[in-house]
Amino acid sequence: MDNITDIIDGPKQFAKDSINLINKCTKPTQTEFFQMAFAIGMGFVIMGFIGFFVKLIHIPINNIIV
Amino acid sequence: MAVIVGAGPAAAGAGAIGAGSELLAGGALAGAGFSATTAATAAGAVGGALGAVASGTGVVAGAGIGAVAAGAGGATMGVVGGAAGLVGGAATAGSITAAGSAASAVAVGTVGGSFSTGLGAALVAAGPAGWVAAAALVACGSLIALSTASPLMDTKGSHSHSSSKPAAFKAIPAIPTTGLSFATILAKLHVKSIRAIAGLLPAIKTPDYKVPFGEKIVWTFSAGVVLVLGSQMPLFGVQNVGASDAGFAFRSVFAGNRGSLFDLGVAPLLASGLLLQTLAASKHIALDWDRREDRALFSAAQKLTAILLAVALSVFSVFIGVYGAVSGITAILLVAQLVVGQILVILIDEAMQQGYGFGSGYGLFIASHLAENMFWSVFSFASFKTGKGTEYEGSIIALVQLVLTRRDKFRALKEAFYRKNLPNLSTAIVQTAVLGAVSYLNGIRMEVPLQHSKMRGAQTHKFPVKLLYSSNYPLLIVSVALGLYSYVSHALFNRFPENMVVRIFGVWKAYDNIAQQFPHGGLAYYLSPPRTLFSCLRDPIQFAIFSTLFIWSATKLSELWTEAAGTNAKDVSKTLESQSPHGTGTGCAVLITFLYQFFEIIIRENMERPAGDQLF
Repeated sequence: MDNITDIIDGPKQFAKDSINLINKCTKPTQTEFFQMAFAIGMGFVIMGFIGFFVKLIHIPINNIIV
Repeated sequence: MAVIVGAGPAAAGAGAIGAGSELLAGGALAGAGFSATTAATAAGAVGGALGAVASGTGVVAGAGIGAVAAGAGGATMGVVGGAAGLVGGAATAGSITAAGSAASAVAVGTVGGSFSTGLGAALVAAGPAGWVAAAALVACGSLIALSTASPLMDTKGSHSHSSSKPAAFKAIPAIPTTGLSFATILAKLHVKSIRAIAGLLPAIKTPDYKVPFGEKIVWTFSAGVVLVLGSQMPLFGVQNVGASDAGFAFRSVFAGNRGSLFDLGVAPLLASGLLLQTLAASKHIALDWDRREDRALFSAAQKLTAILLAVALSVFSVFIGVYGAVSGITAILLVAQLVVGQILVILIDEAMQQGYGFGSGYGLFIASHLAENMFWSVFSFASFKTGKGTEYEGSIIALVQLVLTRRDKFRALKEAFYRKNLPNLSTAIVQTAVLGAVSYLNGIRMEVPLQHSKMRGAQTHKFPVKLLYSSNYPLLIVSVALGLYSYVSHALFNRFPENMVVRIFGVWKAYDNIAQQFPHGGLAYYLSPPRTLFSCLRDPIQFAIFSTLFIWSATKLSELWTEAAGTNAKDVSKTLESQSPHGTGTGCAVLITFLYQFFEIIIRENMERPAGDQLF
C-alpha cells in the first residue's frame, strides 16, 4: 500500500506544480489571441498559397521533364 | 534553453508542461492524424538563437535572391542545368550584391541562371556524353560558387570584418580531457580537420549594415520561395518516379519531397546541429561560448558535419535503391545534385540567421512544407480513379464533387469527411483547430519581473519566458533520431525485403491504397507513432512501447539539457502523451512558432521606426 502511495506521489506533486505554473503564467487575452492568430493565419495562408501554386505549376513541368 | 529565472520546481514544471502541452496539442490532433512528435518548433526559433550564437561567422547571401531567380530559370529547363544554374546564379549574384544592388543581383542571377540551365538542358539531351559534361558543369558550377573569391562569399569561412586568416584559429583552447577517450580522440581529429577545412567551407558573412525591415522581408520571402521551388525541382536520373516516400516520420520532421533537389530536407543540417550541440552540452566537446574563435570553429564544425552527413545520406540513398536501379554516371550525378541541394539549404539557413531574414532557414523550410501540404490536401484537384469512380484529392474539391454528383447526399457528406484513401475534411478541420490551439499555447508566458538594482521600485521590466520554449530540444532530438531511423529502415526494406536482419529493423507496408508505406513490423514499428487512433486500440503494446521509449529518451535528454543550461531544477519531464498518427504535430509547432517569431520581429521593428514612419 505504501509503495503505491509513493509511486503516486511523484506524479501528483508534478501535477500540482504544473497547475500552479499554468495559473501563474499570463495567458493571451482575447484581443491578443486574435491578433496573433490573424498574423499567424496570414503567414500560413501566404506560405500555403505559394507552395500550392509552385506545386501546381510543377505537375505539368515534371511530366514533361521526367 | 531553460532560462527560467529562479524557480526550482516551476522550472521543472515549465519544462514538463511545455512538453506536455505540445504533446497534448499534438495528441489532440492525433485523432485526425497528427504525430505527437516534438513541437520542436520553438526549437526552430530558439535553435535560431542558439544557432546564431554558434555561428558567429559568415558571409553574405548573395545566394538568396540570385538563387531565386536562378531557381526560377532552372525549374523550367533541366534538372542538372538547374542545379548548375542555382549554383552559378549564386556566384554571380554574390559578386553583384557587392555593388550593393539587390535588383541587379536578381537580374544577373536570372541571366546566369538561365544560361547555365539552358546549357545544362542541352547537354542533358545529348545522351551519356552529355551527362558527363553536365556532371562536370555541376561540379564546376559548385566549385565556382562555393569557392569564389568575390567579397561577398568569404571562403575563409570565418569572421566578417577582418579577412580572417587561419592564424585566428590557433588560439583554440585545449582539447577536452573529460569525457570518453573515444570522444577525446574524435575531438582532436575534428579540431585539426576543421581548422584545415574551415577555410574552404562556404559561409555567409554577417551584413555590415543594418538590414532594413523591408529588405529582410524580401530576403525571407525569397528564401521561402527558393526552398519551395527546390522541393519541387525534380532530380535528374530518378528511375522509379512513382515509388513510395521515405517515411512519414522523416518528412514531418525534415520536410523536402521525394525525388526533388531538396530530397533530404533539413536532415543533415538539423541532425548535425543537434548532434554537435548535444555533444557540447554534455561536455564531450570543450567549448567556451564567450570566445569568438570557439564559436567560429564550432559553427564551421557544424557545417562540415552537415555536409558530410549530406554526402553520406545521398550516397546511401542512391546506392540502396531509393531512386531505382541507377548506375554509374547517373548515380554520381544524383549524389552530386543532392549534395549541392543540401549546401544550398545550409547557406540559406545561415543567411537567415546572419540577419538577412527573419528566423531560421530550416524553420522556414519546415513551416512552408507543412503549409504547402495542408493547402494541397484541401485544394488539390488532382483526380484519381478508384473503385468508386473518379475522386479528387483535395478535401474541399471532393466535398463539392461528392455532394453534387452522388444521389445519396448523406453518404456523400460522410465520405467527404471520413474517407481514408485521400485527404478528408475532418483532417483539415482538426489541423486548423490544432494550429489555433498551438497558437494559443505559444502565447502563454510567464512574465518574470526584473528589477534594476539602480532603479528602485519605479520601473519593473517584465521578462517574458515562453512556455513552449522550454522543452523542445530533447523532443526534437528524439524525433530527428526516429526520423532518420525510419528513413534508413524503409530504404533497406525496399531493397532487401526478404533479408532477416532487415526485417528485424523494420517491415513496411502500404495501407488503404495509398502509395505511402508505413511500418508494419520489426523495430521500426515500435519506433513509430501508431498510424491511427484505432491502431492504438488494436495493438496497445506498440503504443505503450513507443510512448515509453519516446518519453524516457526525452526525459533523459532534458535532464542532460537542463544540467547543461545550468539550472538545478529537478526535471521531472514526464510528458502526457495521447497518440499519434501520421501528421505533423511537430510541423505545426514549427510553423506557429516561426510565424509568431516573424510577427514579433515585425512589431518590434515597427516600434523602432521613427514615429512618422510606422506601419501601424
